[in-house]
Amino acid sequence: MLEIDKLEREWLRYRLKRIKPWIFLSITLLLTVATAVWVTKSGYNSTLKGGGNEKVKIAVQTAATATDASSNVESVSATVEKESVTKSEKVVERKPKEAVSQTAPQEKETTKEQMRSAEAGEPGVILNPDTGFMESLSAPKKERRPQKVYRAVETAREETVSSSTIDRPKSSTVEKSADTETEVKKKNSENTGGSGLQILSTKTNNTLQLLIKRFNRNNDPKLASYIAQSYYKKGDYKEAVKWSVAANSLDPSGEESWLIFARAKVKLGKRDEAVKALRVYLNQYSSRKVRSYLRRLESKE
Amino acid sequence: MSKYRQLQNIFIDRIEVNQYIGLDTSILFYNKLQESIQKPLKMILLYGKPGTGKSVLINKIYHDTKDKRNVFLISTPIQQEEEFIKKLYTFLLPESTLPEDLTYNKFIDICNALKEKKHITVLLDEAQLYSSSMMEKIRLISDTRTIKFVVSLHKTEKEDLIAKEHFQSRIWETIELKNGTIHDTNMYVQKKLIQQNYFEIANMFRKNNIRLIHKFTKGNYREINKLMFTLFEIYDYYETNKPSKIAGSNIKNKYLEMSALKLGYINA
Repeated sequence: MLEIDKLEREWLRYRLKRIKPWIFLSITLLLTVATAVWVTKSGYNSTLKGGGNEKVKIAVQTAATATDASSNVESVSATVEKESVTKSEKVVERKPKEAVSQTAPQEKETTKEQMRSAEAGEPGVILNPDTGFMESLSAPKKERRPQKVYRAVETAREETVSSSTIDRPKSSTVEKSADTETEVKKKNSENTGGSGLQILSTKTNNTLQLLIKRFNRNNDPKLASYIAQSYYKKGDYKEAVKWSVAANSLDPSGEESWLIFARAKVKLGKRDEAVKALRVYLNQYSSRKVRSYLRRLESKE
Repeated sequence: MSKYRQLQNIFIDRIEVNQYIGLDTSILFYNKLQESIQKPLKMILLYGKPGTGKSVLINKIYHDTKDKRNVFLISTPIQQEEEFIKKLYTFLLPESTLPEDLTYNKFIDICNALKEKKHITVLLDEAQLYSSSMMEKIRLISDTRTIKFVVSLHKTEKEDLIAKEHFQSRIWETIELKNGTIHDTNMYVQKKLIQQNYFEIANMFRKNNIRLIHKFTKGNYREINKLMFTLFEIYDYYETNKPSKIAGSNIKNKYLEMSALKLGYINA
């Protein structure tokens, strides 16, 4: 005796077990992609922020040291990093050796610059915005441009909508290459399928011949419908039509034969006849399958 | 009886010659064995894993050739030597002439005397169940060339050993039966159903169903029978209790997986 509830529970566990690695894999993939995106974005931002800030900082600090020469350090605003300023004070007082051990290399450089400018007493250190970082900014921008275009081309390929940002020839070449790909695939499938199909057809032919013989003996409409289906699967749509007609002449109520008839007619490019036949069937019988297929055919028209 | 219960019966594992399924590979083996029987060989070894169709093939050969040629079948091994010899004697000569004190040596003499006059073929199914001493005696009988044996046995290491020890020098022809391919699996399921006029059910099996059946059973016909039996057992349950669950024109992989779980092909 079957314990279906137990089996159903077991099946659920089995499906979960099967799906688990895929869920784990997709989550890992998603996280990796998200991390990669975040890293590239933050890297880009840091080059933007980091490069600019340093220059601004140096400029502010040099200004501060310049004022140090004439006035006291305390007048410098609290935001100009008190630590570095005080350390630079100490360096001025003590000598650089001690300062090396206490300050970071970056700070060292800034203090040295400050010292030099202070010693030289350069009066011309004006708070002019350093535009050097603009150069560093323009470089990555140039690199990124083609990526954006590429993405745009990709989305255009997907949506098949021409975008203003896409270069016409590029998109067309992309489409062309896609077409040739499908062509090659088609050709390949034809090539590989060709020999396989031949063998299959010979095998199914034997079986079909036997089935046809059997049909001639018993005139079973279900068998005719099965033969029609077999011909349809083989791609012999004319034979499929012939056998589906045989099937529904023996049993007009069988939906399968009508459906095969309609499908084969569609394949033969006679959609109107298919629609007509299905309407005739639905006038006499009700079938959810036939109705849904008819709806599909009508929506395509 | 419900439709699905009738379908279960189709896949009950039993040897019925009228339900023989002519697959491409089985037809090949059938022809090969037929040719081998016609050749002047002492012994033919037919081997393969359980469920590859050895018994079905040997039965089919027997039923197709028993009237044309002197072919006999011992489907269940006879363990008693005396009984076995008597059985062979009745294949060779009329039962009425059977001597009461028929010994093995006497039988060998009879075989040697009939050498030029009579030739028969005896099909021995499940030969792995014969003892080593019995096998040795079968081997010596085959040396007389009056009786040709077609020995069908399971392929295991032990049985391979038996084959090596007893038949190596006698066997002129070996036929190894293997599990079916995915195409064979498809044809087997389809033909079994069509044979019993279940065309609609045959149409319900799609490529993905067949792929799954082949994956679970590895193309072993006995296992296919078991899986299909369980599948229709499940369908029978749903048809009686929850018919909406089996609505649709295709066999659901879910129920194939449930069958596989029940039979232990897969684990939850």
